[in-house]
Amino acid sequence: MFQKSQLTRPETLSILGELPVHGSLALRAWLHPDKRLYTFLNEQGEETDTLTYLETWQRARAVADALKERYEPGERIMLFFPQGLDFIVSFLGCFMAGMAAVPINLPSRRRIDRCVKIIRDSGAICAIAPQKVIENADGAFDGTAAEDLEWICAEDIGRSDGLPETEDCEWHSDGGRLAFLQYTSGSTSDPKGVMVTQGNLTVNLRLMRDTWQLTEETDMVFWQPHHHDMGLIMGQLLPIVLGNHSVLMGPNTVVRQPSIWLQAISRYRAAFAGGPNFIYDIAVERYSADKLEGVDLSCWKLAPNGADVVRATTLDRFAKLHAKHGFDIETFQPCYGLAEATLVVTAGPIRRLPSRATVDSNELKTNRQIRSPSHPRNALELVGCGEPAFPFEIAIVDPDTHARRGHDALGEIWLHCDSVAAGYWKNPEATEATFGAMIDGEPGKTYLRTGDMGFIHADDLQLYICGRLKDVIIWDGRNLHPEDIEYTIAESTPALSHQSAAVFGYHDAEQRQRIVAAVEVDRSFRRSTPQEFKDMKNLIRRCVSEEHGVPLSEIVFLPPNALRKTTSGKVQRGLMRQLFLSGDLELLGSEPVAA
Amino acid sequence: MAEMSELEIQNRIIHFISDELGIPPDDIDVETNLGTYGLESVAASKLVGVLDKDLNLGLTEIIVFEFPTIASLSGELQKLSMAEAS
Repeated sequence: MFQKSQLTRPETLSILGELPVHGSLALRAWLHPDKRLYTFLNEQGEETDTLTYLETWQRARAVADALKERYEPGERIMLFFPQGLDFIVSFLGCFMAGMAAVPINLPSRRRIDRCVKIIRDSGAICAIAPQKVIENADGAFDGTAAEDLEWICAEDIGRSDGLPETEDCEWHSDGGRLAFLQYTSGSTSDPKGVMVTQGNLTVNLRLMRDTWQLTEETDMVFWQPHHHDMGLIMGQLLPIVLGNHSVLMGPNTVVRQPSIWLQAISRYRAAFAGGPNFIYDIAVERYSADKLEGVDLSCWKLAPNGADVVRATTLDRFAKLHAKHGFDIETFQPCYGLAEATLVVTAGPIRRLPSRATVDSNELKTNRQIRSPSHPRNALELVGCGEPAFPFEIAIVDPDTHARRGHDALGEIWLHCDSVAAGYWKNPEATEATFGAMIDGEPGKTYLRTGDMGFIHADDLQLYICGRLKDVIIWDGRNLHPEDIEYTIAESTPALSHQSAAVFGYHDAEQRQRIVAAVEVDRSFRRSTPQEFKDMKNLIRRCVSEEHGVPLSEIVFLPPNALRKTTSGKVQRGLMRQLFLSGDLELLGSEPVAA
Repeated sequence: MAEMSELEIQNRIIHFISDELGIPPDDIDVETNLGTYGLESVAASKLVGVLDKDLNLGLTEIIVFEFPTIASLSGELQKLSMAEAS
């Protein structure tokens, strides 16, 4: 390999920092073929599948060979897999074949519409899936734009018996080559596939390794699904670069029994494990002294908390409760990232108390300035989400004037880095608007607009996140678009087809995300009985939960013209939220609701 | 194990849904399919965990799909816990 009998440690690190991820796998399959790379645990926490570095490479090689027999490089390949280790070999197989993977959730009745739209948008020619998924999906796509999709049965692909050679590392390969399309952005009606290139992945994996000082000894436990960027990139690709052992399980396992997650961290002596904020809350709510008897978390050195709002109360409660198991609050690594930047943007430094800032919520809202609270009533406690991970450059920018703002001023978070994705697939307008922004007076350098508002704190150089510029609602780490839910409401019954609705989120007293629908109804509803309103609420709730998989907390009905709109007719969701929370909405058919 | 009446179990479930999903208790019917309220796998797993903490029956979230209303679920749980106790 590389005309050498062995590699020094600095050589290995330099090379791995440059190779595409499947090239790193080839190198590691040569360096330590028999080391275990992945272990999968079932819902009881028992090992059901394992892969070594060489097995992973050989199975991915077989997938690549099967693809190359049928298709040309550059084609898009859908991947439909339940949680388990069969996904990752197909994913890496696409890379080796020079094709772009499109990992999305399994097609189900609720998601079929979104699924078809993504298949069509990506122009995927083929899907790889296990036999069981193919049987279940059989017929589901009939009559849709996706019915011509060709299927490859995962079980029909074996394992290559070849061994990795230097050329399998794809040294000096084109970093601009499309690796996969990440469909986490965009509404259902208008899905947007983020074009993540091989070069993007290499840079983001390297910056995670270097920011968190991860090594081949940093074994990890992850449970996020592989169609989510954190589960895919942090949980399944990062280990390849590190050369460690990654223990994986399904999200249902952990949500139902968080103790299985903590037991696995203890049993496998994992140093790196985490997830969105809610998983730490669930672990506290469902704490069981019996189940955690003998669990020793002193091995746990880094607990990333990202993809959702990071809450100080969550960190405190979790750390306090698990201190007797050897958990140290300095383990927490609040971080920030997004699919458009591949994954992680800010994180670290490591091994110190999470940074916090208490700011005046009024000053923040009205003047977009960071000040100490003028009154305890206005105190807002925020958690710092880390410093820009090298080589990210972060600019805080006025979202209207595009003027650069300094430290301790609120603005939109703009990013410049080789880790920023190449744009949205076949969508030059959205790509230009989101990826091609320029700061006023600084021509020639383009930035990614994240749509997130935040500030860099002068005291600690941490990035603090203060909500979304747009109306996107974040539900358990998933982006929801209010216009999609509003559309579902209007379609739920003919009686509502000509009515308007505003859907918005807010955080309750315990900082939990709540989703509210304010539905404007015309005169014909005036005489509706309370029971009729209740039936209508049930109907709306059912349609929204079936379509989007989220609960509507409250539904309120408004008299004609009570829904605030701009002069161009756009629903003012922010204003409606404010009126709802202050109790200033006139409501029909129900008692006034206090938030 | 604490004995719970069917009504107590019902109230426990209503309280959970109201607290977890933010739905006013008045909007919650015992005969309505729980899926209507957006009780998806994450919340269903949590509900089963909360109930089983009291009932200790080794429940899995499949029971929520088999008995998808508050009335049928609480009836079944009461039956199971009686059988367990006897």
